[in-house]
Amino acid sequence: MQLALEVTMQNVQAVERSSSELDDIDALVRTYRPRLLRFVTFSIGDADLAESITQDCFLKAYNGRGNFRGDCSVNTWLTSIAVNLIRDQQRLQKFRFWRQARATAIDVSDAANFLASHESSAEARILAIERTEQVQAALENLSVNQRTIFLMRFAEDMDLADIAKTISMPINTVKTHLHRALKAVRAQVGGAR
Amino acid sequence: MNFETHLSEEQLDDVLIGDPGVEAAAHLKGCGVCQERVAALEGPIASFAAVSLAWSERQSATTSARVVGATGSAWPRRMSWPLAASCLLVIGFAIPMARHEERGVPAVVANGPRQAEASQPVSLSAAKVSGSTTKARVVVVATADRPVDAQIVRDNQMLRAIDRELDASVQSPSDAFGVVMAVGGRPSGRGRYAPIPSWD
Repeated sequence: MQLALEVTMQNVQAVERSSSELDDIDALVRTYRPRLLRFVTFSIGDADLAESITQDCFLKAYNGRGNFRGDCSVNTWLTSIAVNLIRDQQRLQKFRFWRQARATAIDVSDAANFLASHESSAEARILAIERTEQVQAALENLSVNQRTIFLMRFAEDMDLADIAKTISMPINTVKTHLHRALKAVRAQVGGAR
Repeated sequence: MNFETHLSEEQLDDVLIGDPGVEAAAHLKGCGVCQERVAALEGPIASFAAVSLAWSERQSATTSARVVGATGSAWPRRMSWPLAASCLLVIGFAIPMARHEERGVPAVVANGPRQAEASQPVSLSAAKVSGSTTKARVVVVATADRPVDAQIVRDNQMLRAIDRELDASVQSPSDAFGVVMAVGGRPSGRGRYAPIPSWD
């Protein structure tokens, strides 16, 4: 009984914390923007459009913060908003995916210089860039759904149930997409060796 | 446990996905080859996650201020032009109106009955003193409720009191000669006081 009460209190506190977190738009952007921008950028493959979608995502989150029930983390909630915005863009066909978006394609080669200290040696940086470009190349050949699900699992560290809920798909479908994505990554990484 | 046959690619993917079967998990614990195969794919994915996050953090560092500005102050930014136009409109009306009042043109319509009552005695006395003084001036006094106008009214009253006092107490030197001073001209200020001698 005592344990159940404590768990309930912890949940209530978590919801209150998340709600207050959403009230401060500056803190919200500061905390979640890098992850969200990465998710959107590598989902659509267009850095400029990703900036715009990420900004829209924060505006929507801030305006609709009253709808946040606290049954998932703020990061997951923001990701689900971003997924809907990406789908809207798809429906409207306002942008072209990877192959057509070369003009604003993502160049990660400089980013390796900002990696954590354990990867800061020159060899480690070169290896990291090489591996990243392999995965990036593999993602180019995936569908938007496969890319999005891959990023949710391996970049956002979301579990299968959360991914399925966020994109409104059965878990088995999510797993199928992940299998295909991993197959493409394996082929790219194996082919580069 | 059979380590001669290794995990299939699908089983390896299940491990990476985080949903390995019981059998695959048990095999992976004791099989170095399969562990290497998993690591061979985990490494590039981990590098991608780290480098892409570093990239987006760098992007965010350069653009977050712009985004925060855009999201946080959207209302004032949208309203700035209408506000500026409203301010100009108000100033455009206020300056001509202020000049209009400074010229002393009576705003008779704007005066309420209370102001008219309050200034009535003043206007009457002003009318008595100045006779046919211009009506505009009387009206200005009657409508005035500003401190400057009140001061003018008080000054006028004081001057009239002095005039009355002088008239009553001081004897004119011409009285000794039986000269009667007649007032000529207009009291508007343009007339001259001309002595009219009478030789009795």
